[in-house]
Amino acid sequence: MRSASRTILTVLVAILVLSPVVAAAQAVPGATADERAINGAKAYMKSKNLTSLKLNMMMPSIFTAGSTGEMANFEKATGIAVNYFEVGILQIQAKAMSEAVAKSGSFDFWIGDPISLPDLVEAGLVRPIDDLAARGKPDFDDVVAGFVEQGRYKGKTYGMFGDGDNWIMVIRKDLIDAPGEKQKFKAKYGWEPGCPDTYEQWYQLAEFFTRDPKGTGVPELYGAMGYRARGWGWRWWLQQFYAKGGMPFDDTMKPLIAGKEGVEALKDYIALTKFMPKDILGWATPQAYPFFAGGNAFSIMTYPSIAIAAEHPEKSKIAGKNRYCLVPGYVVNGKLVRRSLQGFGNLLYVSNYSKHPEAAYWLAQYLTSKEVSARLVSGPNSVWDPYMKSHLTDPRVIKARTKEMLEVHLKNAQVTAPMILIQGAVEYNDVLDQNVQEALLGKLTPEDALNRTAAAWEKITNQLGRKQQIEGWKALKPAFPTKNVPD
Amino acid sequence: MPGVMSRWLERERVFKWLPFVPVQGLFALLLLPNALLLVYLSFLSWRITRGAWWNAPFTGLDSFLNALGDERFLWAVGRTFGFAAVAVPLELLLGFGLALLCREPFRGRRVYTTVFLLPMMIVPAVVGYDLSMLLIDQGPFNQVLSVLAGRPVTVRWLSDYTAAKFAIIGADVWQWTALTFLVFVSGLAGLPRDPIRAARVMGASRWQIFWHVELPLLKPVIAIAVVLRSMEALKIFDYPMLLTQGGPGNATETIAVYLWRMGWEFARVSDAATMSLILLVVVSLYIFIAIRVLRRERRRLAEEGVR
Repeated sequence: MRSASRTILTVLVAILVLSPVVAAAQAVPGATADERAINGAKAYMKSKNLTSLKLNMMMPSIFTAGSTGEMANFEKATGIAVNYFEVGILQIQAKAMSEAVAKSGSFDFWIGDPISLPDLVEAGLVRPIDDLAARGKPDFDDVVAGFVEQGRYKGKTYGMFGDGDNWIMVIRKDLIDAPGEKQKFKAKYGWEPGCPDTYEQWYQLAEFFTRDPKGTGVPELYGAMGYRARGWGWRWWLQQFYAKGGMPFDDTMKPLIAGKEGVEALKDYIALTKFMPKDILGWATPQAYPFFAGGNAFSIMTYPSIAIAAEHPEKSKIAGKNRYCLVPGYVVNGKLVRRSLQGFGNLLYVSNYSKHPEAAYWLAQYLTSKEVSARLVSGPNSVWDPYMKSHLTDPRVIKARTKEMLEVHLKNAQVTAPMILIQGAVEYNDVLDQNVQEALLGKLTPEDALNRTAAAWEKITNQLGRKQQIEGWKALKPAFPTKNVPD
Repeated sequence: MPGVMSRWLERERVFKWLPFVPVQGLFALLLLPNALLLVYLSFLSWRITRGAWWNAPFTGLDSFLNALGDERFLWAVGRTFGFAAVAVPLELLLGFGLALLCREPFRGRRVYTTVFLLPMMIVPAVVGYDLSMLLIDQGPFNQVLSVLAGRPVTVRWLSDYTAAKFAIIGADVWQWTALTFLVFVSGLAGLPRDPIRAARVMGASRWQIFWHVELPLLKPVIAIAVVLRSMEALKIFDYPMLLTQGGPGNATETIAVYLWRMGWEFARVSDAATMSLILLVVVSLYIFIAIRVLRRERRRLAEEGVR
């Protein structure tokens, strides 16, 4: 008995000692993550006796800009080509879920948001990539703190983070600097106009700069912009709710959204909407960006890729006229709390049903390496947003986005909260979205809208199993920022 | 034995039905397993995120009770029927009107007929995408309306609670009036001439001929158009998804949109299966009644010796 125990112990010690050695032996050569991705892909092709290979990729249609060129570069270097098909950004989850049932291997990897990660892992579609990441050593260390975690679930890594979608605020400095405007504003509101620290200040700026001289009800300049459409609007409310100091659940998964913080945030969210274009309830990025870049609004809270549209030398009427701001917040217990939201944040996922998951992984690592990601985020019309510390100093990114924008963006990242990333997230968020919009339309009072949401959330939690949901929620909580304001 | 076989094959009933066997067999092979699986899943509590369906717990009628107590589902059902109740009659009226216009020969008739049929040939997703651009509040559609009205028209077709419903109905009417037009053109062309001639000889006015002779003769055709369009209208998915995502709020969330969300976004396949079964029963009942009406009309016409 004693000798058997000794043997087992010896084997365990041997495994512990040898595993790093084995891992190191398997490590892919290369000085940078993109080089290692290429070398890893080449080694994979060699091991499979392949000279060419075509991977299938599912991609939100707005992400094709820039990405296809980098895929062509990867093909040139490795022989691995990509046949991509485009899907509407809000339909990715449904397509992925149908593949989880079909198990057809119809796509090898895809770009999707982190909201769907827990459900897709539980559905068996997403392949963990820790083993491959251990060999390829991707640039996780360079990713802004908190973002890599969005690709992790139950202690494993499933997605390569590739899109720093924490929101930024943009205001028009040319309008503020116009003769007499500062004085008029200060006389009315008692503070020098500029980047707003609070939502109340944003409201005042929006009110002041909404210009409808003819009184037609269709202003020549709108004071504010944000997203209010179905599928999007809830995210903007969630940001305000977080800034109020709110949390969606307590430790028993009891919903907390219908409290004072939630109701006040929803009232403010509705109030601000009156300074936005009337059709904003039907708009998302394809409508909002050109509208703002066309000089039709004073301010916008949106994804950082707005800088590409707003600073576009040919297409934008307001290039060089923008000021990039820290997101506003609320004064909670005497202290200012700013919160940005990781409002989408795309990840690159590898399918469990892919015939070549390793090849798909190498491409994902290639696209999210320091060098290639810098090219992606600085490309014309790109909606990939900066998410690496190195992007801050990369001249190509600075040229495309402006230094000011990058500095503010990475500061906002320090106070960026995640969306509700637990199992059933899509359903939780959909119910919230529906009720927030009903309140915005005046069909429900803010109190009723949030009480209804809370009741529906309770039902979802009970259906999914409270114990498991509590675990998921506890695992997510460390991803929330602890700082009230950025350093 | 061969003699028995050939005698069997020579029987009129056998001979008449035999060609349908492969088609029906294929039909059963393709649809029956799915239908049975759908029924079976509705008695389980299966989510895609909870392993294989064959391991899902049997919950009996729970999901039926859940569905019937789901306010959002019931609203989606009511909304979809309401939508069909407006869209289908509009399509029938417009299709019928256009068919009447194209009934008699005139110069350019073929061109008009082709133009009227064109919308039906466009993929609904393309129609939806185009309309999402045309219908924004400062977009081309409102600009045209502004010119016609002589003042700025800024209807929020995609973001106003009421207008969005009309946008969806409008999209459906624009595309599928072509089908009712086609049905009525064929129906009008196939009307028996004798009763019409007889009515004319007896001094009936054009309106009297239309109202008392042609319209009753067209009842079976109208019933077919109603059944075809109602079935499709009750399944509407493309326009609400592409134009409004079911919003604003839930203003345009139809049954198909909700089922899609339930199954593929929320991963609640058993609940989606149950809801689709309930829908199937309701729609089948509606179609059954419509077909009974159709048969009764045919029988009546046959008894009157018109056909």
